[in-house]
Amino acid sequence: MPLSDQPSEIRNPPSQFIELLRLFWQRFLDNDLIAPQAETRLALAPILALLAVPGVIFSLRSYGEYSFRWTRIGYPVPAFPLDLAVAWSDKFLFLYLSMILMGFITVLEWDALFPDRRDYLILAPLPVGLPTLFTAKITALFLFLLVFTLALNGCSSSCSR
Amino acid sequence: MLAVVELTKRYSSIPAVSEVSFTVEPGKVLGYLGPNGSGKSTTVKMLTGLLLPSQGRILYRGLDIQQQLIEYKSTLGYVPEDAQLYNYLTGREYLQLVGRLRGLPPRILDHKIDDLLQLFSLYKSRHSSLSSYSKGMRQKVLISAALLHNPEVLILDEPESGLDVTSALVFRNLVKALAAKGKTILYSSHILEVVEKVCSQIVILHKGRMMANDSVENLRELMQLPSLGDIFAQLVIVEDTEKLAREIVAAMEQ
Repeated sequence: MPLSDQPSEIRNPPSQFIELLRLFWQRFLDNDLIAPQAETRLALAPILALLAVPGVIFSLRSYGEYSFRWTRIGYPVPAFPLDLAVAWSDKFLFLYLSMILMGFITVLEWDALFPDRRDYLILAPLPVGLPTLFTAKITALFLFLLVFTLALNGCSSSCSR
Repeated sequence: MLAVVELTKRYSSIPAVSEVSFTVEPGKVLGYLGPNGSGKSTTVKMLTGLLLPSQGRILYRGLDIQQQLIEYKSTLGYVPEDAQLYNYLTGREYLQLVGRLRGLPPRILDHKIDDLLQLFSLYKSRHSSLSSYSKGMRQKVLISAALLHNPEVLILDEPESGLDVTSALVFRNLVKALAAKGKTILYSSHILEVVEKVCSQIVILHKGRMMANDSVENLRELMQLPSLGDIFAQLVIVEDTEKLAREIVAAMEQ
């Protein structure tokens, strides 16, 4: 059978993107710095919980502080007057914390951020199109960043509403 | 039929492979021989679509593979020389990944994986991560992955690397059985006795250039030499190997 006559699902399997997304997601959790022989995968849930803790603690602390200020000011203002200059130091604290942790995660995951030699040697002989491969990698990267950003800032952002 | 036409690969104008031409018919096993650095792996990488040739063409069923690369790769099974695997996956997960990327239906895929794992004596370790596999076990995983989709073309680059004696014998018989099923097979190796036993046609490469392209019988007859080892030595080995060995020992004992 001529190659061009093969069924389209063989030429372009629809599940390739999902498979690659799953693979690249797992690669973020397979960290050579923590487990050089891949004897263990990073358990995502405890790490996310650990990252969320500072946000929760600062949010609870700030909640009491800004509720108190609102009571003392004595006229109607939002429950969290975040435009006040006194709130800047706390806002910066959240920004610093997020930036430091994201920087740390980036260093830890640096090798997995882009397709590397191993990806090339394993995936290139397979019938996978380069656009599918790169789209899956970029999607996995954004998903990973989104999950960590939410873990870092989700609690504090929801408390400030 | 797989045809290589005047294939050349240069790395910054230095030729690694120069004007190599050969064809492999379905049902035949072509042995691709050469010393280290002769250009075997470079040719294999071009045949698998990992590298683009600087010149020349690779034709499969009369069409240039670069014009139908995804389709060509879907008919290709490749056992690489370097066993690169995702160590955090288990043997079963790796085969599932390869099978799914090749678009195999899940039920057929699971059945095939179980069969191949059992036949290659990997079934007990199927849930262990690949990082805990020995070199031979990793090689068996790569061979299984190359056979999962019943490929038309098989490119084998030093496939017996790391295999124990029994597995190597099984593998040789497997190659013959696959050829009998009409598969087009290229077997790149530097183990002469294996190539002599398994392959119907031989290409000998030296410094990127093709030195011979014929059947073992014809080469023996043409060169009036009894074995492939002698033919290889005549065509490729220019050094006095015994003298070289003595010099290494002398250097070691200084």
